[in-house]
Order: sequence, then structure tokens, then C-alpha cells
Amino acid sequence: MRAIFHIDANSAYLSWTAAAMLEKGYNIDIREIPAVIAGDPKSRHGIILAKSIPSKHYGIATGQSLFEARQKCPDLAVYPPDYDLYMLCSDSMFRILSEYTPVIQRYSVDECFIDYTASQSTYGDPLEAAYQIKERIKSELGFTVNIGISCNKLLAKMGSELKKPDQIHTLYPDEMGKKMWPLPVGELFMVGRATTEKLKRININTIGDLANSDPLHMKALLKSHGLLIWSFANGIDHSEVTLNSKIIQKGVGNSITTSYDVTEKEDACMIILALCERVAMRLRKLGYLASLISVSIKTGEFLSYSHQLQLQSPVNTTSEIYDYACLLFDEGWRGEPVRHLGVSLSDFCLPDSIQLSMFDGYNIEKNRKIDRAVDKIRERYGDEAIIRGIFTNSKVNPIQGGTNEGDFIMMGGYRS
Amino acid sequence: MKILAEPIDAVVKFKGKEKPLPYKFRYSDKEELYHEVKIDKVLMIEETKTAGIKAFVYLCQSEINGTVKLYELKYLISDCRWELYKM
Repeated sequence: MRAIFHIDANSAYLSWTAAAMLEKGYNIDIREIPAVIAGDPKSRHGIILAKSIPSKHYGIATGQSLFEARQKCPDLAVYPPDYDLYMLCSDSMFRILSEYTPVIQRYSVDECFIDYTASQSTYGDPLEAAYQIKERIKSELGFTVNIGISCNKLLAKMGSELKKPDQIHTLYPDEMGKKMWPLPVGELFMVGRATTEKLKRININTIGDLANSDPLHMKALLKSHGLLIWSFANGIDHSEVTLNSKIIQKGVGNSITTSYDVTEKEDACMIILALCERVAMRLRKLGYLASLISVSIKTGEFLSYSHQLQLQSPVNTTSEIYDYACLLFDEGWRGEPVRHLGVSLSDFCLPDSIQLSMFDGYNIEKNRKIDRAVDKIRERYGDEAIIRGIFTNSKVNPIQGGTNEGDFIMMGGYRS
Repeated sequence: MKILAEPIDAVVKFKGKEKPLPYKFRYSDKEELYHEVKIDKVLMIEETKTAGIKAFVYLCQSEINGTVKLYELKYLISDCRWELYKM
């Protein structure tokens, strides 16, 4: 039987900040008081990114606004995020795990799957190894993790979510009935708010209810997603622990919440250009061309919509992507104030198999050369080393989207 | 010992493949007066990586104002800087 671990740092951002603060001589462990990590409300990033366990008792949840959280707990301690520190913590956790097995999937900045099957002969029983890993992370790095152990990724992940913090849980198929099935159906991986509502309507309230339902019924109700969550409820998951470098990326996208409501088309286009700079750079780094471009807009009233375009011939130059993105924005935008803009690309193909078009602009080759040169300059001297003239003396940052200077591991990417 | 984590000026010996060895350091007090301390003995060197921050922590002994004191110095590897870590 396979031995898969899911390692999950407990309230990652908060405990990493706490560990670093204690190390600097701060005399309070912010994990033990009502505390949160939140963005700056002035730039409208004031949402809760992580919360301590005591703040949970006040009903504070991740994703809530800081204003809301302060109403629930006026004495709430608020700390800003430090993404450089989080990268360090994540990297050092990864380094400890890689001592036990080379098969590690970095699922996000604070979560990893490891396949321990082949390491059993060297490091012994999975449970003992898990305790060793947990204790090492606690003593060497100063934060706690939850580890779920099972025979597949899904059950390992569900296991690590059971009771927190600093715990190890096994969740083998024979334990599902006792440990997983009594949980509310919303706790299951891939079951979100909307699906929970739909399932509640047909009286499916727990994971057990879903597991014992008819898969055909689920498929009729929720299409292929219905079958997927039915399999998950029954602990069926055949996916492998895949190295991040082997995962084929299907899309790139970046978005930004603006610090003020954008009402002018020119301003919006400038922000779109800054986003295109980032997105196009990432696309070229992957070595792909994209033929599906999508622009998403969130209005001041929190209404979201998006508009997309399938291209005849795939593109990878910043200028072309920007032209199409502007076109999409023009067509899609209904004139309301905009608080959030996003550009994403998908439907990738390799540059050696593209169909040339008779209608391509005459300067495509020229643009490609410029992009190649700009990419090289930025790689060597930093992103800000060369920027477009339009951004001089403007309030808009010339390259937007992403944290930690475009290190996308924060959102589930990986380091090349 | 209490954690201070105060940045200090240090004179350090770098010797071949060995870890850097502090020779003397100075710290400023509340009145911004500098105090110089010569390190009499390094009792222990430990590598730490709390919160992913790599550092060497030195347990040292010196005679300060006529009394022998134990304290810890810390070298933050990625920042290349010294701290009076605990005293």
C-alpha cells in the first residue's frame, strides 16, 4: 500500500510571522492571542489572510474584511504580511521534507504532498517518520504542522484537516466511516459554497450522505464534478504525487485590486498594460504561445464579470496581448467604476507549431525581438530596470500582479 | 538571558573553512553611548534556521565591568549582520 503524507503548516502566515517575531525578541506569541495577518486597508487590501486560533473563537474567518473582524473583536492585533519571510519558511520546510523522499509535490506555499512509500525501508514506519518530521519542523523552524497519512492524496489531505494544530492523523479507507463521513459535506475537498447549497437541497448534509448516494444521481445533478466529489467522498483518488516541475501549466493570469475605483478608460488600459507585462513575461518564460485571452473585471459594487477571445493565431508578445486585452475590456466594460482587473491567458501551444497568418501585423518579428531583449534585461537587472515610457510620472506601477516580485509559488506555482 | 536582538558592530575573524569567529563588538546603550566588549571565550556555536532565517548563534563569555557574563551573539547569514541576541 502506498504511504502518502500531506503536510500543512498551521495558520501558515500567522505562525511564520509569530516565529520570526519571537526570534527578534517580541515577548508575546501572537499565536496565543486574537491576532490576524491582513493587508493594508488603505490600499483596499484589508482582508484577513490568516488568523490565530483564539481569534477563531470570535468568529473571525480568513477572507473576511478587517473592518468586520475588528467589529467582532475590538482588541484584535493586526500584523502585515511579509512574503519574503514566508518564502524562506516554505523553502526550509521543503528542504526538511526532501531529506525523507525526493517525491514531493509543493501544493501551495504552506502545503506539500510527499510519497513516502519507497522511503519506508530507510526511514521506517510512516507514522514514526511523520512524528519525526513534525517535531523537527517544530524545533528547527519554530512552527507547527499538521500531517495527514493515508494511501492516496485525497485522504491524506482530508486527514491533515481533521484536528489542528500540531497533530498527526491517519485516514486509511477503513477509518473513513468514523473520521471523515460524519463531517459536513462542505469540508470535503472540491466541495465549495455553491455545491454545498445544491447538495443540501437534496438532503445531503454530511460526507457520509454523499458517499452513500447514487453516483448516477450525482452525475445528473452536477455533471462530471458530481462524479468527482462522489469518488472523493468514498476516498477514491488515483492521482500521483507529481513533482511540480512535471506539472503542465495550462494557464497564466494576474490580477490586481486597485487602490481607488477606476472610472477612466485610459487609467484602466494602463493597469491592463502593466498586468500584460507580467502575464506575457511569465508566458514567455514558460516557452509557450497562448490563443485564449480573458479579461476579468470586478466593479465597485463587487459584481464580477469577464470577457474572453479565442485567437486564430497564438501570441506571446506583450504588445499583441495588450491590444487584445484592451479590445476585450472595451467590449466587456459597462462603464461602472472598477476595483479589480485581471488578465489571463490559456490554450497554450509550442512556438514550433504555429500557423502563420496573412493578416499578422508587419512588426510581429520586431516586437518579439524587443520582448526578448526586455526579458533579458529584466532577468539580469530586475523588473524595474526597463519600463515603458507611458508609466513615467504616472501613479500606476509599471508591472503589476503577483506578490514577492512575481514569485508565484505563493499561489501554488513553483520555482524553476 | 533575555532576547535583545540588538544590531551591533563587530570585529570578526574569518579563518579558512571555519565559521566566522567574533573577536570583539560594541553596542550602544539607551543614552547612545558605545560600550566595547572583547570576547574572552566562545563556548558553543549553533546553527539555527527558525522561521527559515539561517543564522549562527554563539554562546560567549566576557568580563564586563568586573563580572564574568554569558551572552549570545547571532550572525544572520543572509543579511550578513551581527546581533547581540541574548544577554
